Amino acid sequence: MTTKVLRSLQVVKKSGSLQCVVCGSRRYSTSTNAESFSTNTSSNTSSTSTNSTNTSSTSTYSRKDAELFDIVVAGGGMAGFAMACSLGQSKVLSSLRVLVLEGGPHTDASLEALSAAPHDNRVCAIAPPSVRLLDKLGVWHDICGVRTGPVKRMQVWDSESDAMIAFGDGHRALAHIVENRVTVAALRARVPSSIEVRYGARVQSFDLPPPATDGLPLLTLRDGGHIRARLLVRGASVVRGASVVRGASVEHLEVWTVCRGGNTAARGTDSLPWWQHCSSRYGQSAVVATLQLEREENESNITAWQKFLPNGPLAILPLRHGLSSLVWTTAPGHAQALLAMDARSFADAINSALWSNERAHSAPWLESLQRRGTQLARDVGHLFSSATAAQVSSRLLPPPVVGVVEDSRASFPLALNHAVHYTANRVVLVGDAAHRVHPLAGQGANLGFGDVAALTTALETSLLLGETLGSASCLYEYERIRQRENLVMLAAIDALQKLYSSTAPPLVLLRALGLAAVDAIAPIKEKIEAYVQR
Amino acid sequence: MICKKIMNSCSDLISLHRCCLKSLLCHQSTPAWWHVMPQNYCTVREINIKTETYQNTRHKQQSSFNDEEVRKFGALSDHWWARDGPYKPLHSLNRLRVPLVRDGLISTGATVSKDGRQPLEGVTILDVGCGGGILSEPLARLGASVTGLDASHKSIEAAQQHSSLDADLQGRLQYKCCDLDTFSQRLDQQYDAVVASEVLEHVDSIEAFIESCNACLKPSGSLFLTTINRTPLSFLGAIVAAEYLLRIVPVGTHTWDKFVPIEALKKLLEERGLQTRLQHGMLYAPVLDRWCWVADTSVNYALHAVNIADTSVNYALHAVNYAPESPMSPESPTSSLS
Repeated sequence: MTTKVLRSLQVVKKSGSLQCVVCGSRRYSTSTNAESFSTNTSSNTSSTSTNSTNTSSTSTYSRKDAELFDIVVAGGGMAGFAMACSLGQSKVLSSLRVLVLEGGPHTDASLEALSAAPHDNRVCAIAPPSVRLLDKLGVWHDICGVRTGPVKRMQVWDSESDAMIAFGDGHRALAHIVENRVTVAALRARVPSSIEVRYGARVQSFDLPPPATDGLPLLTLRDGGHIRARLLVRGASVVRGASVVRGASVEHLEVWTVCRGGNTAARGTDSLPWWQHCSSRYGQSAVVATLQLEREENESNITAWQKFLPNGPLAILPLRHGLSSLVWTTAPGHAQALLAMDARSFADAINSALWSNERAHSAPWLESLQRRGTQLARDVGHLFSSATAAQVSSRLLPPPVVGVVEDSRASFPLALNHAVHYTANRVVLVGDAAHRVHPLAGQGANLGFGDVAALTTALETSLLLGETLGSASCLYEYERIRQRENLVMLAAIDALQKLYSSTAPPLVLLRALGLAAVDAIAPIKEKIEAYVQR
Repeated sequence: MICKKIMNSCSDLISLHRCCLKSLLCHQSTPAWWHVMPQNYCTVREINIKTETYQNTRHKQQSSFNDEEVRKFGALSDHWWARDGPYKPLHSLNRLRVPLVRDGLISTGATVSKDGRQPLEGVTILDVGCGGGILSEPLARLGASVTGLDASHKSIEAAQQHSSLDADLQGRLQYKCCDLDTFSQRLDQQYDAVVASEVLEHVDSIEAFIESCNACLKPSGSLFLTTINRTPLSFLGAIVAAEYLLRIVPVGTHTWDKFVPIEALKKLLEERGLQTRLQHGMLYAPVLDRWCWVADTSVNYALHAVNIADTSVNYALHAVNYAPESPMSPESPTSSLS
């Protein structure tokens, strides 16, 4: 029993940000204590990294008995299976021999069965660019056939001020809330039969060729098999169990330690100079759950709500009528307390957090400044929009939470990770292996899908230029394109997280005015909407 | 127009200063760049006049290849495949010239299959002056059966050794150490395409070279040339900047006198029944190590000509669809394929 719990928690540790976690099937146990476990895995990881440095000389790149594949996608998950679909459906790439190594067991859960099952607690927001990719892969139709929660309106506000912002007109979908397992199952069903998928695969060690050599990565599986790959794509949630990584240079090794994910990896990187890694722990945990809302007969559940509290944002994302998904970022201690509560008081805690007007600082001068600033922003906003269209979003009230679906509560720690290099010699990282973000903007999965699309294009271009598969220039091109996108998003999300985690009056004033300005001045707001929707 | 005027005055200035400098520096140690200055500098105007009856006045010999040039590249043959070596710009030039050849052949209908990984399946290509095979290998990977030709033994050895590393290339790529004139006289087959990339500026007789290339071409075959124009700007760009200031290529790689004026080249091609279908300038960004297509052909340029000796095919019709004005984007090779 304990090992089972440990393993399931390891998944929590290893898998990525909130949007893109748990590949496959398992909903993890809700009663476990994530914090107490983190010490166990940290020792585990450190011992692994010492292994990897000691044994680097014994690596064998020239094994003759190893199976050779053109592309090996290590780690299924959303990014991994999307990569497989994308490779299989590309005219240029479909003739390649591709293998997907998935750590989880093979599940026969059909899409029909999923649509009958209760909602999973792990969801992510699929933005329009990702919808386009999934549509191109033929998967989006299947996902819609199961269930999605379209978000047609979004309201974000702050506990420390009156400022709020609303997006969406209530007609067009800004994003779709989809359960991770639905996305994964739909992608998995669309993987062409030409691509081999091995379930329950555990990688014992990765032997990576040194930079600028002609070697190929060698994977040693737990069952003794050897696989060589002309290009190794490391997908989102990684093959389970600690694997040894050998033969890469320091910073590339760093990529791998970081992408092992979770708190422990971040701790393991402390000894490295700052320019070789980019990771920080937020000291926050996310509590997820499926909530029952008060049903309102004439209004469907199409609004995503997010309130920034001093400990972190609380988000309620629509699943279907009367049912929403909760993502509550908060202090780890508070998260434990929330998990330990009974359902009734859990719902009460959410309601009071949503509705309370308590503020850390409530000086009259501060409020008056905010009011004047907001008025000014609205006046400026009027200049930009025609007289009739000038409308300031009116604050709506979130529906009260009446209960929580049984066994749907879970929590996991949050961290920011970004690999300095997405590529090494014949190795490339996509999705959560390359970056993990805070869930506050719901961008984790979308960045991963963006990686998949960019890598597919880069590989196609490269093959049509007659380059060898996984040539350095192709991988570099992918890295360049994706880092330019991802770093902007990561920096913006991290800045927002930092800005909203303080209750200092100047910062509160700054963000209140900023939010009011963005809300009132239509051109800025349209720019932001366009950036996310592009 | 203004550009042309400025260039003309520039070239006049250079000639003038050269004369002054020569008298000043007489019997003194001459700087290294002196030797690479154009020895028989003629102004752009003169070149324009000369295009009417282009004669290679420098070397009267009939052979197209130059021993000294062959030795120069043979000495550097260890570096052909070093990513950061002296041939780095040639590696990155593949991002332009591979699409040039690929899309050019697709547009002339030389290919059968347009989809998939190997759009050039079944096409025969002769890569003249292949060096280490930097361009031959990608073309072979695209499905073409490629013959690489180079006069330097060392280069051919380096090319053979490198191609043996990739199993995909076996049977599709062969190298021959031979000069073009001899090769074209003992031809056992004609080719769908002849590619001479960055070679023209190293040969002695352009006429003999083009003649031999044409002999290797099938009727309605394509000739792809990339080379450097002979303009004041190309002296500054390809010799002063690239060799001396930025040290992108080794000093002495190029001789300005041997650069090929584009108009003269086109005229020469025309006379031999090779119709120019497309011409583009190419610009290199040294720090980024990237090439891009530009409209201006005064430094590096690429040219696609088709043998219209066989008049049964109406090329004028094709040429309209080919839209030579819009450079093919290396970023989106699929767009031109689909």
